Amino acid sequence: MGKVIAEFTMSLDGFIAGPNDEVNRIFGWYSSGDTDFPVPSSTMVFKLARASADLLRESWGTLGAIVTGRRDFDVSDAWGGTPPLGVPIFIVTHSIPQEWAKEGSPFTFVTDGVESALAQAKASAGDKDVGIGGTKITQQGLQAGYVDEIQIHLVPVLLGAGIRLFDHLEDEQIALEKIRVIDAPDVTHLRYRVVK
Amino acid sequence: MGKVIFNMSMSLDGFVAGPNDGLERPMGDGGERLFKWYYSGDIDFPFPGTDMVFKVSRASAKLFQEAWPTFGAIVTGRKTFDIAGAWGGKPPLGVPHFVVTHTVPQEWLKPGSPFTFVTDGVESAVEKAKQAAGDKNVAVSTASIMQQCFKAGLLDEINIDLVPVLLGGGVRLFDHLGTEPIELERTRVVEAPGVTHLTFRVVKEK
Repeated sequence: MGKVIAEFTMSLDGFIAGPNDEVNRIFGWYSSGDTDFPVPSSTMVFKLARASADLLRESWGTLGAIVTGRRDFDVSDAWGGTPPLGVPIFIVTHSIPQEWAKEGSPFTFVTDGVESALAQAKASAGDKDVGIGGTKITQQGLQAGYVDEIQIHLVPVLLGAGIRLFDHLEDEQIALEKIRVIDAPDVTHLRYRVVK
Repeated sequence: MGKVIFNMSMSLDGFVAGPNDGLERPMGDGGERLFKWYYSGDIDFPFPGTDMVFKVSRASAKLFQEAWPTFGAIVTGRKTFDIAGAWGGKPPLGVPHFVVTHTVPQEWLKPGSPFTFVTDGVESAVEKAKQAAGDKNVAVSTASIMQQCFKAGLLDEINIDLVPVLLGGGVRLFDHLGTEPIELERTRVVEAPGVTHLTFRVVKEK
């Protein structure tokens, strides 16, 4: 069985987007390097530092499915109709967007909660890992104990406001174990195991 | 002229003390976790100026050895001064301390006191500390003073000892800094057992 991994780019003050979902500044490291990194199943090509490219190749290669939230789906405009990384994606939502509820849709909408979405994603991923996106899903996952690892791409900026990743955790201490730190020019890649 | 440098242990979720902090429990609920790395290594490291001895990893000790001698003065806040019980008169690093306060504690107004009490604000305290430090650096040692220094454009460098824990609540380090993005440049990463030492330069030129 694979692991459940939450992965985010985060500012030093803990934001994964600005007050209006702006990500330009914190995503700068995706385009500031000199190594071409074609994003799987997409026409996008990142320009990464070599250390960052090696890291993404390795960590994205282990993902077999993704669970994310409806907000993520809407803000990204359904990723232009192609799920990121070319793996099955499970979107937790209250209502299914009809334009995507069709035969052969690349998206699976899950209306009965995060745990159900996760179970479906795990079944789909087989031995591979499940990536989770969306701050709410990550927060619920940390509290419910189903996040196994956290991958943070820490960016040297203070945004001052926006969407916090580690929020609503209700004063509960969660122990982590640092697995790996990779120092790249415009970002520090930090990987932690959640101690359960 | 030296730099003005802030140093602090912080949880991955950005807290420098746990929930419900106060004079009785300065680190808040569970906040002691942030300092575990000071006592989890196998190198005895006497904390200069004090009677304390840390037990840190080799990597952290090397960092201390490099950084601490560069400090010529410290700016701190009255709350920290009180919580620490004036460090029994032996403040960290054995360098002059400039305490930002509204009222001066008379018992420390004596010849040879390591403390200078500054009642006209953070900028004045930093100025005095810089003069005392000469070519050396000035350390800023509390979150609220750091925030005020930041806003006044006085801060040159930030050292974060990033601790692998989510405290879930408490005192946020990067708070009250406004909503405009502030650019930093990460200048050093030192990976040590139980902590990641990150150094950032505050980018001032636009």
